[in-house]
Amino acid sequence: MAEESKMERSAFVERLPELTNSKWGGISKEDGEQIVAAIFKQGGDAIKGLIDGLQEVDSGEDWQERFLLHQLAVSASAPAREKDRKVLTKIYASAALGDGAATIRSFLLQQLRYVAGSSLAPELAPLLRDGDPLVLDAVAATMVSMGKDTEPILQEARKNARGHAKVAITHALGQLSRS
Amino acid sequence: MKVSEPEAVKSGAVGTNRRSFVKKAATAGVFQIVAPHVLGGPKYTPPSETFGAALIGAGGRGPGTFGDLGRKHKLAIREIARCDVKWVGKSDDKTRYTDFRRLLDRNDVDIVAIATPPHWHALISIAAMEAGKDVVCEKPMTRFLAEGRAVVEASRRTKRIFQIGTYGRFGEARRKNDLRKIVRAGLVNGKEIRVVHRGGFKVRQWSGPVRIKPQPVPDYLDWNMYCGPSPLKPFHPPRFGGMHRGYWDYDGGGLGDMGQHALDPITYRMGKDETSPVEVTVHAPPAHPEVAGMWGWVRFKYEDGVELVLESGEWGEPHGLEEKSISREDLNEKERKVFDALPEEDPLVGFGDAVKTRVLAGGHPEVAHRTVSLMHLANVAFRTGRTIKFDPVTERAIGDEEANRLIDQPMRAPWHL
Repeated sequence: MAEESKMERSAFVERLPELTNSKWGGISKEDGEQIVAAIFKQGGDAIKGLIDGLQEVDSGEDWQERFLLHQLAVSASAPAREKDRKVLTKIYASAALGDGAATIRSFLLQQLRYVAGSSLAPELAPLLRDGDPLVLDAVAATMVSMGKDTEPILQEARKNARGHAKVAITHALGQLSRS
Repeated sequence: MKVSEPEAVKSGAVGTNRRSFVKKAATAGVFQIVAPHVLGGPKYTPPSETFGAALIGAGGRGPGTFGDLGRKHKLAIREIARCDVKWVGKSDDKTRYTDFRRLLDRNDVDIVAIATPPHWHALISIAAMEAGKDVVCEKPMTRFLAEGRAVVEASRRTKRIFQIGTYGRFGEARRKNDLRKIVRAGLVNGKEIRVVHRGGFKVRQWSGPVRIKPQPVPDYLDWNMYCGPSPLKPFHPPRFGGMHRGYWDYDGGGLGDMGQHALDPITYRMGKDETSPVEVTVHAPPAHPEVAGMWGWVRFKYEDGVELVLESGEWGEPHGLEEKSISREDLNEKERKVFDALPEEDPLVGFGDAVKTRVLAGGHPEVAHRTVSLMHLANVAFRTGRTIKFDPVTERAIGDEEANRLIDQPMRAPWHL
């Protein structure tokens, strides 16, 4: 992932306006859609370029990357966007399963909450054994969002889970039982 | 004090606790309550009519909300304890707590005032009612829509009194209005009815700062408990105390702060305080993942065609639609007969009277939930960037599973609805 500002950031970052007093003043919906469409058009490399720009500590220096990665998820979550959804969730899941910082993997898992269907759950299952509580909480929450189809995966993972993993998985099963 | 036979049966608010037992016993003549003037003068309130009260969330609005128990709700209270996550090292688990669960264990607490940030409102309200307490909870009632239904169900299940901390719906002027009566009587019949509310939402003020460096957690703060059901994020002061309103993890931006205040009397006036719209359309920029940001307007459409438009006046072009109200004079003769035949509603019951008589409070969970649902639906539309079609009965978005993931959100362990 990026180290400070020395690595070249995605060109899409430049298309967003500066913050005003550290606050997001917004762009028009149309401008936002154009940027998102352009990223999808460029494909997986453009999306990975944004992920590479994420920083381990969320101090706002990578706010553009976070914003765009979130907007990609929101855009792909719309009905009838299965093709973009498939591309995006695969890339986010792959990065979450990688060896990046837990904070970054947790962020990507939170984006998957908006856009990933339960068909992705088996691919994310190894993260239910992750050593980091941030990742465990995030993947458990994503599984809850995906719905009751994830119950068998969670139940299987719970068998050998210990510590925070067991808590997070059990808690996720409890929340799914309510739905 | 003479207490009339409770009307609580129809409201389902009958609750057998020591207060109602004393009152019922007195009515039945089982024993005599000594008249106040015998004990200590006409203004003396005997202990049997004094309520033990606690405050959970002692910063910001907390002291004011607690003080309202006596000032506004005219209850004789004695303060038992307060709870706040910023009292690490200063709590004694007698008068000062950092964990609300310990405070709710106490049998001498009858009423709880809740003034934490909104991401805790539903959980603490439910826990308090299940512990046998009546509740006044600050607005907004909830952080996401599904929480509200859980609070409504808890209130019905436990038969506790709940009042949301906004009072715009009270007052004779609002009760006697033609629009509410026309809607309640089912006389909309294709008429163009639109309520428009402009400004007062503090949108820019409560947009969260984005570029903030994390800081060490202060020694006095239980940050894990503060985050509670929301994801554990790095600490920085804007996330804690006041500016928390600007972060989706804890609140809903300016609409979260002022929305329920503005919307409560509006939904009451419109006769729409026990239902929800079927369509929500917004004009807003793409949303940030962490912070509540700017918005221009939101348009709610109800099943009978009645509309509500909120304009922030702080972003983008205005909607341009004008208010279209209606009165009895706009009805035809047949409709006026139906209008005139509709019985007047009883006055809304204040929290203090509701606690004493066990009758549903005027700002009870169902109406508070339906009002704050407007805020939540608007925020879901802002965050997804699309029109939301909504089923007011199932309280789910139609054909938009991802919107439903914002309507009902997972909570961090160990917290759950």
